[in-house]
Amino acid sequence: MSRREVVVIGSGPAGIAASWPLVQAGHAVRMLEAGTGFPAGEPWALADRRAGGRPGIEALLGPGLRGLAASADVSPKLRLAADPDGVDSYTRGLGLDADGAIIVGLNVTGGLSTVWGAISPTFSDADVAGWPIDAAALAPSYRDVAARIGLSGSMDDDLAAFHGDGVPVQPALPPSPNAAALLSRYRSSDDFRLGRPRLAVLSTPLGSRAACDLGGRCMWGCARRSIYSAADEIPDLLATGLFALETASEVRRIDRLADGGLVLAFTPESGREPLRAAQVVLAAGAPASARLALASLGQTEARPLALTPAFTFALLRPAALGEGLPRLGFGLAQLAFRVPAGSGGYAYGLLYDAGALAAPDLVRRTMLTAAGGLRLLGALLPSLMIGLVYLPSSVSSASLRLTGDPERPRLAVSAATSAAALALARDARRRIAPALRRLGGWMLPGSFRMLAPGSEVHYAGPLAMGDLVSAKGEVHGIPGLTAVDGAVLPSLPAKHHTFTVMANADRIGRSLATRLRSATS
Amino acid sequence: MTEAGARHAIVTGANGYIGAAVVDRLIASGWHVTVLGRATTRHISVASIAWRLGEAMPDRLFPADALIHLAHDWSEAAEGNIGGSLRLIDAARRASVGRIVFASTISARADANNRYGRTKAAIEALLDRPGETSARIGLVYGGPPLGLWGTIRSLTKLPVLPMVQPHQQVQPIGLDEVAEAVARLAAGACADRRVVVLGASTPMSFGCFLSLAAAVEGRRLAILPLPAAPIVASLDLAGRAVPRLAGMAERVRGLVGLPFLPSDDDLGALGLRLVDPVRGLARASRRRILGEAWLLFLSLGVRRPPLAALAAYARAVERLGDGAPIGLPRLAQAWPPLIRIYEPLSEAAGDGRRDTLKRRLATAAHIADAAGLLPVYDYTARPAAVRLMRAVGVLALEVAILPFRLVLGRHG
Ligand SMILES: Cc1cc2nc3c(=O)[nH]c(=O)nc-3n(C[C@H](O)[C@H](O)[C@H](O)COP(=O)(O)OP(=O)(O)OC[C@H]3O[C@@H](n4cnc5c(N)ncnc54)[C@H](O)[C@@H]3O)c2cc1C
Repeated sequence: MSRREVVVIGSGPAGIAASWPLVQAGHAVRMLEAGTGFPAGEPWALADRRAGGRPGIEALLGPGLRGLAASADVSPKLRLAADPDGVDSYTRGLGLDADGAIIVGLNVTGGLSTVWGAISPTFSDADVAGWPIDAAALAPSYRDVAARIGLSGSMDDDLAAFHGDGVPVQPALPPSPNAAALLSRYRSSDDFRLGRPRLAVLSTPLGSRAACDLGGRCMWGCARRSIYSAADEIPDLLATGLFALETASEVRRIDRLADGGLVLAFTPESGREPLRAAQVVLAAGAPASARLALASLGQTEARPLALTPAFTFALLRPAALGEGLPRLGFGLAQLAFRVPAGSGGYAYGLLYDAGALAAPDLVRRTMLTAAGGLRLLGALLPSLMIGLVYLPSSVSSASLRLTGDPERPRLAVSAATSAAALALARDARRRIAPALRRLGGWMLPGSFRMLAPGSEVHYAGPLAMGDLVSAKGEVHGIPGLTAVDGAVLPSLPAKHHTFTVMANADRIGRSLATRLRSATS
Repeated sequence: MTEAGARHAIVTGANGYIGAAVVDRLIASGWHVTVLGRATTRHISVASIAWRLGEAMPDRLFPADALIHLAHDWSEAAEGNIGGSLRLIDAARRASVGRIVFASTISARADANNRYGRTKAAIEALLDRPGETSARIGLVYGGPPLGLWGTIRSLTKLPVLPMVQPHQQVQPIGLDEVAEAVARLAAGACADRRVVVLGASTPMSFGCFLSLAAAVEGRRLAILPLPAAPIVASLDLAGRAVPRLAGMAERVRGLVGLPFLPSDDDLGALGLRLVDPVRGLARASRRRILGEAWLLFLSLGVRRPPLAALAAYARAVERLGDGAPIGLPRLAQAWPPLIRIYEPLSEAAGDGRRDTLKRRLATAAHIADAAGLLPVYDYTARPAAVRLMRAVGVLALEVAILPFRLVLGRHG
């Protein structure tokens, strides 16, 4: 067998998904990861904790209470479940100058998937319109990735086909009382479609990962590993004997050598000698991969950045005013919905139980006093849900660009909420509010809020396939360099994209594996 | 007298602001200490030998491994300080004391503005043999309000501080850091250096330092820049009547034209990394922050905030916030529910450099939440009307106090 070594940069979902087909084809994968592992902590139940039980303050707010650090608009999950040092070191590595945009990453084994919300729909042909590939090209990869990471959701509600039906799906987790009540009054309609979300969360065990026990601690990280994290796949990859993981190895630059090979230089903190490689796979997360590739290309022109503008709102179910909070429940998205938006497009939304979030997070972004806001929540929490709605990247306006010294380039990102995004958001709200009203949910006046661009952490576009890279991820002009993460997706629908990033990375990994085999035979 | 194995240090000036901390540090690291001077009240178990700078050396003082000379006589003529030090040094040399550490100042220079700096420079010049080191100490802060630190603390209680040269660069260092450095010097570190600099390696303006020190008291300091000359002159005049003020005039003079001395190399050789004075000073305000925490927790409806939660709040404010007490109005201190009328509408209000009260309250709320103290999560069913009434009541109150918040909101 012809064994070739491929260096993969980044151990997030993209890097892991690209590694499997390479390893399965018999190639050796050497994964370089900037961060190190992050302990998942001990399992505990939310209801117990709120009664003052273990674990203590530091366990919930992180070592050194760093989870309290001010970070304007990012998901509370990024603060509560992530190692803040990993967040800092990702932005430091980028040399980030963000103007109007929130760009986050996490230098830790598993990348952002250690804190993600696990929403995992597939993309349809309409979703990939304008890409150099069609949805069918992704189908086998969707299937394989789904089988490995484990999806759960409904296969017979109004969103089943929209979320994708060609993949294995475990039964949906039981809905919360609020979600069940809304669903029970829902009647099919074209204008507003409601269903259970498609989640990379286990309702039945898979491999060494346990099924969700509805402990409700999702916002603080899942110690049972029911919520998929790319880091969970590393032991399986290591077991193949063809895979090696090297942590604390942050790649600073990728340069071409005269003989055609590539050489990777590391940051001084990594304390590593430069590494030669014939094949390098870029999977450092869209912003970091864009920076590395653009630096190798010497490309300093502005590149488009696709973001999915998003807004939030609060929903009250008056019928639940007298209820108590459920003692057990899943803490991430309970319901998903879609409404038409723009010409032929759609907005995609999620509903969370507010009781699964930390109350102070809900209050601090409002104009209410802390004491008043908490008291208000004390009365309303059991009947309150939080909505999060995403719009397609076609209405986003953002770009990124390399600046500064070519030896240590910085990444400048600028973004603004476009008038088109705002108009589309208002339009979506006008459709969502009455539809939810019919189901017994009242959108609270004044609760509509546009999120800062980028805070939804759906990044794509700067290395779009068909533009700077081929449909097989090959970076034009740098033989041996292949990009596989979100940076290569040309655009984003309103749906969450990470499952598609993984499927696409798997697809590119397969074609790279084949190319390497034929090159040596 | 010396126990087997224990090193023996003789310390002068042990009753002073720095001296007391040095003696603490030496004892903690196993030194046997003899105080030369007035017996310290703090260290009952430490042997002391009565002496004053300038007097003849007492008998049976040595042997010792180190002499740490911190004494300075503010009332004496410079010659007394110099002559007395010379006598002390000679005696130590004759008794073959291997290590002499002398507390000097960053302002030590033969042509210094004040007598203090000139005196210290003259004594430094005497210490020219191997094993003799002068430690040029910067602006020391922290610990009990004594010495220059004590003066600064009382100055910052003024509503407006008329100030000489607020842009003058100073090199702060924490009291415990000085003590640690001196103990390491005594133990033989940097024995080959005649002079080491103990102070922050990046300077800070004196005005900034004073504002931070004021924050320890939970105050905001208004600084009124003044020309130096008239101040020193008037302090000199006042000093004739009140001797304590004479020392102050001396110290103010010392600040004027203070040089910057690089300290990186010396601190590195001593194996010391100084705490950023911003954080170091904040640490000094911990007691007040704990008090603030108590009030904020009460205002959030936490009945009896446990110490662990208060301490977590103080840590969070020190590490992640601006580190200074927010300075709650008396009315709010007396009746914590009133705190809400001082809460600004947004966390990001103000100049963005100091924490707002809203941000502090969010911090307290997060900690109370993590400690399971928030009376927010209700797992039992209750009549919907009760919940509704409560919600309406809260909203009515919120609307009623909105004008107050707009006017009084603490913007930090
Ligand atoms: C709070 C939150 C919720 C989310 N929810 C969802 C959701 O519900 N559904 C969804 O689809 N998406 C969601 N996302 C987005 C999702 O997490 C990301 O799209 C996904 O993790 C991207 O995968 P990736 O492998 O491309 O990059 P990342 O996950 O960012 O991983 C990149 C890896 O590369 C490493 N790295 C970076 N630079 C270097 C370097 N120079 N050298 C070496 N290594 C490097 C990093 O340490 C990291 O491990 C969410 C994100 C957040 C923050």
